[in-house]
Amino acid sequence: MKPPRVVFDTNIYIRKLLSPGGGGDKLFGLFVNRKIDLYTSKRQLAELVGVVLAINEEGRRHIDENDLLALVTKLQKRATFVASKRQNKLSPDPDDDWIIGIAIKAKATHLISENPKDIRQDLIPKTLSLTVWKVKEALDAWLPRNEKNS
Amino acid sequence: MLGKEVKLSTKALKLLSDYSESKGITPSEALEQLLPKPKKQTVKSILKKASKLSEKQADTLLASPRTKAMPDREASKFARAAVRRYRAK
Repeated sequence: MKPPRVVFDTNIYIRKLLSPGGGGDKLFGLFVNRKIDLYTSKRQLAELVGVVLAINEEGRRHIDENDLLALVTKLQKRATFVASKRQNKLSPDPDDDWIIGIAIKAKATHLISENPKDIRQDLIPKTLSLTVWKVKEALDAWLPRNEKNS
Repeated sequence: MLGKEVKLSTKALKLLSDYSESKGITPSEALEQLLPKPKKQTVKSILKKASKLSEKQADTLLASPRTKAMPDREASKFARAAVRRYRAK
């Protein structure tokens, strides 16, 4: 069976960096172990680094620079890059439209986000077969049973 | 003052001492003035640095233990807010 084609919202990558061993980290591990195919864009990679640089002192205390470099390297070398075109009115917040745009361009099967207010399943056209999940739903579906409680 | 230990040869110490005397500052302040300042990181510089790493090096970095993790639930909220703030700029 082909691995799911997945787009992570940028907040998932930030969560991974802030909380090694947490949900975001486990999800990223699925990509590292080739259980999912990850899609991103140059714009998202720049946003990810930009968010880390703009993060306040409290957050910076928890982020290891080596982790950021490793994450970016992994994405640069292994993820598939697509153009991130803005998809108007697929999110109540126009700032989030382009993340959905990546998923559409990538013909993604899943978009993982912790922002249910602005990235909503009911606004995604049914013809796209794109499922919006939170981290927990993705881990419940994809993480091997023996790794769920570790 | 620098927060790190710097080893200097006798000759370098003498030069540093002469320099600090001529400027009327302490050797520690002189050293701070003379050492190159770390470059400010930018999105571009980090992307470039990351592109020079191999996947194997990235795997090694990812596997190294971390001790300063934020609780996951807190990290989720924090990450959401940080991205929202960034996009609103």
